[in-house]
Amino acid sequence: MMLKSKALLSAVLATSLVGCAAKQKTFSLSSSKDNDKVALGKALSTMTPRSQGPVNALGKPLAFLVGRKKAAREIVAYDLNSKSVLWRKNADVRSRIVVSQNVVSQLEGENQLVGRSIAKGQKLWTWQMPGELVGTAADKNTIYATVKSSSGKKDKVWMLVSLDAQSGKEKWRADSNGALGTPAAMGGLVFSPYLKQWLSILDAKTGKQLARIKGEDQEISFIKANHDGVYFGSKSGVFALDSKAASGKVKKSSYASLTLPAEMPRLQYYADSFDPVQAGYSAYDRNRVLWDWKAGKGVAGFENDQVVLQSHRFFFGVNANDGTLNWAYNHPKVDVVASAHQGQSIGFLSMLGDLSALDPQSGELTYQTKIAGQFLGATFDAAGWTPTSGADVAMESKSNADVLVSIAGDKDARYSEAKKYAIAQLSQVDSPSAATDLIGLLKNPKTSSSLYQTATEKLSENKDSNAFDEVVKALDQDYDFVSSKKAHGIAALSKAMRLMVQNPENKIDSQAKSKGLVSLKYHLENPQTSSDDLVEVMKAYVALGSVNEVAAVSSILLLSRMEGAYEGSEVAAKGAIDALFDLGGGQGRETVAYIAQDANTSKTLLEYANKTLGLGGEAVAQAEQATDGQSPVETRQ
Amino acid sequence: MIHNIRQKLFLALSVSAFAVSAIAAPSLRSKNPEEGLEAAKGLAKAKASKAVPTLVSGLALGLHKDVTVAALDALAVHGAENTKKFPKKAVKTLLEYARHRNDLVRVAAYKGLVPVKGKDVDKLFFNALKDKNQNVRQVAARQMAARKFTQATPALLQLLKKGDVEAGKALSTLADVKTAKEIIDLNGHAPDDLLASTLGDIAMRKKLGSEEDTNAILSGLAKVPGPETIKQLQRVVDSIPEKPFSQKRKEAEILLKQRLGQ
Repeated sequence: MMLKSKALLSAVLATSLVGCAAKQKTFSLSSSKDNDKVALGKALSTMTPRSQGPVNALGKPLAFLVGRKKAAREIVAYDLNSKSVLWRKNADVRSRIVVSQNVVSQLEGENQLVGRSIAKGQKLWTWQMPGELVGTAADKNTIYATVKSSSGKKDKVWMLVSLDAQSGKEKWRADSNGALGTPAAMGGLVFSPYLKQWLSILDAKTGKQLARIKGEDQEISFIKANHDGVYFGSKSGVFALDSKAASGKVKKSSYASLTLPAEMPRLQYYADSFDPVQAGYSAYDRNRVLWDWKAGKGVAGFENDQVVLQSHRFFFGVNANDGTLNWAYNHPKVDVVASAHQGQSIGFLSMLGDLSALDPQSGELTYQTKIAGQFLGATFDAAGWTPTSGADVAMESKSNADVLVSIAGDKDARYSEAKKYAIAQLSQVDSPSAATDLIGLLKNPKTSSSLYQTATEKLSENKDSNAFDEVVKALDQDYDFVSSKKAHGIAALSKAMRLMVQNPENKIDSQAKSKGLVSLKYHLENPQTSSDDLVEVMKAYVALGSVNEVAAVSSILLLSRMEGAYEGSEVAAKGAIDALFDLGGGQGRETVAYIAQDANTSKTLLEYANKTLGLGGEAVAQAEQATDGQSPVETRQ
Repeated sequence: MIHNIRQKLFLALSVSAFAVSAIAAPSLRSKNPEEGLEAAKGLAKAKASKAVPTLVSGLALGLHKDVTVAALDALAVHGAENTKKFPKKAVKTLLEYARHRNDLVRVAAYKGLVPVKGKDVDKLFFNALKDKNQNVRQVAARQMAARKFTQATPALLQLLKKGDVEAGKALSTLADVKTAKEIIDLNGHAPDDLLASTLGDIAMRKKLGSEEDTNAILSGLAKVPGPETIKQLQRVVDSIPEKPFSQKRKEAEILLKQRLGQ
């Protein structure tokens, strides 16, 4: 009884909040306007293009930063050209800031959507949301909010609400029983993703649906109103919203994508409209594909055939057609929390208030300033902004290889994706020192194990004739208690050496191989080589060598196969078995066959050796039962 | 068929010569380490001409680690008894085991090589100063002194800085005046007790350069902090009779009194 009363009260309140605003049923599963080219063309023809500059009426390129002051938060409005703070206001910002001509709007506190004057930052209005914010958008004079609410019914209800930007007064709302995503708005139209499959195009004045696109090939998980048009898409790519989009198909649409690097799987073209976390500034903003659409109608693709990949504080300018790296930028020390492509520049903000810009074509730092405070995120309203004041600090010009090395060698473990990508690119960069750079990573004891692996693979793919010599030189490391020297990266370097030799495309002469064997022999025979390193050293030694080298590894196996021979002996012995069986030819297999049948071999290694030889438990049992101290061969004799 | 292949494989092993000999020594290669140990001890006492080949062949095929140490010890016994007739194969085996990854085994192998002379073995001991294991370094440092291998001086000085007692002992034998002065310069960089005992040992030597050099070494010793210095100065004084007059004793006495505040 009590519950029923509460539900009734909620319903009454919800109705009273709506007031006089129109409420309509806009979103539904079936619609006659799905992929209707005529309806879409007609709708788009009414759209007023946005000016090429910023949206705000001040006409200045601005950035609205959300700062953190202990437990509290603040908004900082910043004039990018004059490098000055317009205003700073305490505000408990919980969403992205959206910008209209005169008002910025954002969620403040749990459920209040607030409008603030762009000129001075004072609060103009507050709108109590009837549920949880999914996302907001702004056009010149209107703020749009998509809200998810529980109205007391079983199903949750989503609603897209139109608010007057100046007064906060609700103009209309459109309900949906299915999930709505963060909207976008431009020139008299509102765009709302629906159930990740549709993009509804509504009349901004009435909320009435004018057209709808049904994604046939891909889901629709974001919508973006850019300075030059409206774009939508998913993690797979970007569609331009033009008449061709009515097909709902990739091939028939103005569509662009690139094969994103496997090393950085979290990259996305834009914030996911359906993810409540991405309605605010979050870690997702640190993994972005930053792009601008190719200027000129009828041409689909990214501007200058280039995109910029951002991972934390690293930026990579990449050819959109083939993924080739054009430039790399490593922002020093602190994470970048917000970034945006402004056409002529990439604006970005670091956690500690470094507000900077990069030239998207060259990666050159073109703007740099510092704002006091710590920051969570930012919204840029700076379309077409071309920094004129330049960077305050002259940056040392670094080659791509140098930047990639600095990224790959970064000590912060959180950046493993960018580091792997940097290593992968390092091997592609046209630099005579690429092999040396990768070797430097392998010799660095602080390089993580996963990066070791990537660097090893990339190094082994290097076909430069000098690369093998460089690896040999790198193996020339000493263990010396006296001078406290330790060798580093021996396993990785040995593995790279082996893979280079095994690659039929590499022509490595016998003289180079001999030098390699000398380096390997030192580590093979040195008791201070770790067991893990020894495994790879043995494999390389056998792969490079011939009879003598197989005999040397055979000897190691014989001396390390007993129960508890020494710490790590099992690892070394198994490595020796692998090396001899896989790479040691007939002679190597003979040794494995011998220890597989010898009673003095430890039980674990007996089993391992027999398994390697393809023999079963019977062979192991037979070996174990052999007369003490004699091999089955001896017994039979 | 399999039998034949295995037999062939067995005989084709790179160490096949040792393997065949090993057939004669089943107890050394017993799965029971106790039996192996007994066998090794027995072979240490046996006639070298029979024992050494058996030990070498057993070691070539690999033994339990405890038996390995005992077998190497047995080889060392035979090597020490008759260095000149020590078979090359035995030396080769010891050299191979000097690279073994087990510290105890390695120490045993180095000990076995002590009677073996030659530049290669000198160098091997010199390189063993770099070993991570203290016991290996100890054997090596002793050999540097025994072999008068002065090239090892810089490494020994480094080890002295790290507090290696055997390095100090080796230096006290090898050091010339110049090295002694370098040791004095380590005051404050090496453990006081070790530095004092090393300089004390050097000061005890009868042939120690000029009187001036001797005084410099004693003076350097006297500046090392700690009680060990007093003990070492006293040792020098006690080692020289009052008569006939000795400048070295007089100098040591003066320095000792100074240290004692007399």
